[in-house]
Amino acid sequence: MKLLYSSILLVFCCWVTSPTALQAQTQRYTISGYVQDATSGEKLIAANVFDLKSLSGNVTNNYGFYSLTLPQDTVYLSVSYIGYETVVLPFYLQKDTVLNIQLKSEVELEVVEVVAGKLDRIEEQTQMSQVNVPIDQIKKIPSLLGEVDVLKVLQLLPGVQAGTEGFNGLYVRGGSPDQNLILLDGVPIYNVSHVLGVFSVFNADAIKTVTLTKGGFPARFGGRLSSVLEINMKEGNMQEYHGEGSIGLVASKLTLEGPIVKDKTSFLISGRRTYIDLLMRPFLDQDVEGSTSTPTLYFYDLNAKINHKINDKHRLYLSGYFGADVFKSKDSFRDVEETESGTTWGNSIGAFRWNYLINNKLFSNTTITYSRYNIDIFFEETTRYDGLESFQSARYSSGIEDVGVKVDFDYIPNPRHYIRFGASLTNHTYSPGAFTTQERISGGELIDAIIGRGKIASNEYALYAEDEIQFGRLKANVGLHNSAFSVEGKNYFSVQPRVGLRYLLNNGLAIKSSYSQMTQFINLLTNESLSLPTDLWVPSTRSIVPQDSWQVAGGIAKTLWKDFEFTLEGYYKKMNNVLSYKEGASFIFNLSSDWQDKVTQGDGEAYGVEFFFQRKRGKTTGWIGYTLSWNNRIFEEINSGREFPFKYDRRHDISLVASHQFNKTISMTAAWIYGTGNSLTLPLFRYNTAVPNGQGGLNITEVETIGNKNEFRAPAYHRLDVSIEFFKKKRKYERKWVISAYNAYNRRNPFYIRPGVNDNGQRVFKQISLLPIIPSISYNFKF
Amino acid sequence: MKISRISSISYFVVLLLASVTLWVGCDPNSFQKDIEVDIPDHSPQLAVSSHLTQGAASVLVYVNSSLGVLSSENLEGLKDAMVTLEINGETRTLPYLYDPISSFAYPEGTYGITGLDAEELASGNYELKISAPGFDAISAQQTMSKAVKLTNAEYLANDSNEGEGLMTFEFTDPSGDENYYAFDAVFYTRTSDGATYNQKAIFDVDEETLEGEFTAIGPIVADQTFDGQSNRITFNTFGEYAGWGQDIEERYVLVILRSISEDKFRFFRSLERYENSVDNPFAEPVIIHDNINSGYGVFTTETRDTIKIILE
Repeated sequence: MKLLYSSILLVFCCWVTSPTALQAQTQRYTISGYVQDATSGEKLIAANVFDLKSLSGNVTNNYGFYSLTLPQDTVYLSVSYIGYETVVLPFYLQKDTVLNIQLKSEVELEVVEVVAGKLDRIEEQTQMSQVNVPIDQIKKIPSLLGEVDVLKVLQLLPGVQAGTEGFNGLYVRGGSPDQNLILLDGVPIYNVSHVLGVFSVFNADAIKTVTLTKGGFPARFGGRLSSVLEINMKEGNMQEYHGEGSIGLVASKLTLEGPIVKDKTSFLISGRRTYIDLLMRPFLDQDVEGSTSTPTLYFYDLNAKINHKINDKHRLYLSGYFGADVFKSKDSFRDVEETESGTTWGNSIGAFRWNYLINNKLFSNTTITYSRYNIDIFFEETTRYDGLESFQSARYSSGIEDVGVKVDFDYIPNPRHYIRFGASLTNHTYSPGAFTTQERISGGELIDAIIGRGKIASNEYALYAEDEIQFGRLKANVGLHNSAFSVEGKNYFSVQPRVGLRYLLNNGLAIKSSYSQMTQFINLLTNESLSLPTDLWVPSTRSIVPQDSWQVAGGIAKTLWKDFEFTLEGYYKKMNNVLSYKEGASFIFNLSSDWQDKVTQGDGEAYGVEFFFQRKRGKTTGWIGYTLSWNNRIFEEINSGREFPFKYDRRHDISLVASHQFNKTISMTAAWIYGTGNSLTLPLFRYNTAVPNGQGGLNITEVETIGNKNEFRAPAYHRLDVSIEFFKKKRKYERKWVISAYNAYNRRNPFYIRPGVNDNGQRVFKQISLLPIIPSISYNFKF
Repeated sequence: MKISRISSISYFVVLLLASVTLWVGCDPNSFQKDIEVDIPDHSPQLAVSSHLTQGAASVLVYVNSSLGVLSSENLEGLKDAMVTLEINGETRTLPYLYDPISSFAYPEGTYGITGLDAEELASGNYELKISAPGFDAISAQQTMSKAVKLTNAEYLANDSNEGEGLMTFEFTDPSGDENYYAFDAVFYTRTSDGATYNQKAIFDVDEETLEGEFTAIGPIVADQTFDGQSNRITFNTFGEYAGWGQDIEERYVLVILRSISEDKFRFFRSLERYENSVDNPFAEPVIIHDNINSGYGVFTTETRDTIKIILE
């Protein structure tokens, strides 16, 4: 075994250093540095750094760093990034060179057409099943009540489905929302919804990039089965103070950024709050014959980040997000009775990051992360009688808290290899739900009682290594992700190989394929229809084993006519040990029961074909997406052990998104979505059943019987959203009016369907719809 | 000129959207409508319920017919069915039992035999066959559940909380077979005037004790986690208040261990889940377990063992 390891190590070392050996006669030097926005100093992620002479290149990492090792010779270094002017720097390379490059944005240049760099092109990338949506494009897409929503835009991409209309669930390639690893600045965020899923927690004004990976996962990612959504916050302008904000129908937001010490330290702070409660207060507050009632309902978000450059080798980042929903009501009756009840839930996350440029080929990033989600449902009542005060309260709380540390290295020995390796440790603490009651009667002692399961702690470990390798027309990303999980004395281990391949044909068409295995140690107990704040994050335990999956994908990709990208991909995903509530189970009215008794594990499979045609640049941008897919589940304890379609098994899913800039002041965006109706379980027939009544007779119960689970289809879902933007640049600021309409032709899409009785007394199926046409208007400004 | 044109466009757009919203908001049918769902036509079939207990004095079979979920007709028991029960190869016809005067005990559609000797419903195989004009004949088979003896039973009243107590069942699960159990108990009070009052015990949840479910026939459990083992299971119970306030002659509790067929286990588990989910829009849908050939419903068996504990 030792010999085997030594051989592997030897082969690996020879492999990685081979270009040096082959070209030993030519001295090689490394060009390294950062690519950043010329105005703000903001680092540009995945910018293209390419030598036009040797045709070698690389892209910047998540911190804008690049490294390119080339032979001693004249270099024509082309640096490009979407939406920025391409820079070509000719120079003679004769020593290791540090080159920090600043790019000017097209807005600043007032140039519309910017040529894509070679490595920007989709056919050049090994990674498949990945979509980047520029934040400017996200902001243009019409949104519900004018609140720009990153997650709802992602729902428009092929392979990604929305769950229930108007809500934020992401169902990626047949997976469920808990199978998405959602990272805000590298920190997992557990509840991404406000107002039961109507809005997402991501404030678009504070976001720099959004990248969704649906398959072909590189080894650096792990812990979820279906997708990785990376959202990176802006770093803050190093040069000057800027701000932007908006005033909408339901919420307003403001973002400020600027230097604390010019070119050294910057900050960004961004806040959003809804004010429906403030506007409605005169109507909601009641004072009738001594009875007063004060309801409060709002949500808020606060994003903050500090970025400090110690020197060229060291950089520190401190970022945080705090957000919560508050629904509560305070009532009183004269001085006799006071009650307060409500629900609050929210996330708090924080990250401390240290970038260390060890040398011009080796970059490290060390992160300490904290993430917490909790929900609190409470009721308190105080009564006063004859000078004595009685008090009683009931409180339900649950949540999850993570503390983690992570070290990642990027090693770029030569243009043929880009090696990433690292390790992480996360401590999860789950609070699966506890009731606390307190009671004091007539001034007596306070009596406490706690019902429910206590906290559970677990540790999750991960170790990974991957190499992005190039052999002429063939590129490969090969890696291994190892993870381990320990909970309540039980240990689980998992080895997950990952491979991505790309072969470039003569006509510029890339053929891509990938294979990835994933393991997930934590689970979300949730209803299939709605994301509720009471959804519980729970660990794998002795009886609930980890979920795992493997996915294979293949496809083609090509850039057409400079600005258009086209991909066609097919995939098959097998999921094992996925979790579902047992038949009849729900946590809504049964919060104190042990969650493990309510769930069962089974398998799932999803397969399909995705077509994506996108234009990111130009006067007219947008995409056409189409997905043809199948998505099934099989559980021993559900549907009598027979296979059934997943609720969001959607055969056809189409999205058309188009934005057009008419002139400097007006642009219009429209998004049309069509999807096969969700699968439905409906009662088919009814009969009476009799059970012994214990007195020698029978009790009769009428039961409605379903056929197979999810056997039927709701009517097709479709909707058109439109928005018009009126933009004007004033002397000191820019302003933009956005008028939009969600569901512009007022399609009554099904929310759910149930049997009922019509006006003539006949039994019929009734469809309940949720969102009619909803117009909105917002005022946006930037200075 | 251009700016004023844009302003009028925005004004027009806002006005249009506001009008549409007002119109939609005032339409009460915006959120609900009757729709056609392409479900297959339902052809009514016989539906039956029968639960045999070894050694019981009666066999009851309830027969009705199914209706499509959109049918406006009411469900009614069938009076003209032919019901036979084959016991170890011997066929017995079950007469119609419904009597309007005693309809409380036997609802319309009940067939059966009462006054049986304890030996008549013994171990062995049973086949239930039912036919009725206009319906396909249906049948179901069951084997009487194997007897499992209660080796001991205890009841410890909770002195500080009247009506509460701890009830313990001790039994040995037969190894190899899949066995299913239901735990039951009834408190009896005989008064000096000769009257007897009874009260079924209510079992409290104790998840640490039992990985089972609580149903209309008490807690039920499969032997997967204790196959072939000797077991001692204790529950919190309520119900020791039958006949309180009377002149008590005797008080006792019958502790009952039911060894039930797999079909009975699955049926009562699904029925409990169904009833709990009926008014909960967030609950997962439930399929009621059935085991009837060419029809619907359930045919089950159970064998009981009982220990009587005299209460102070």
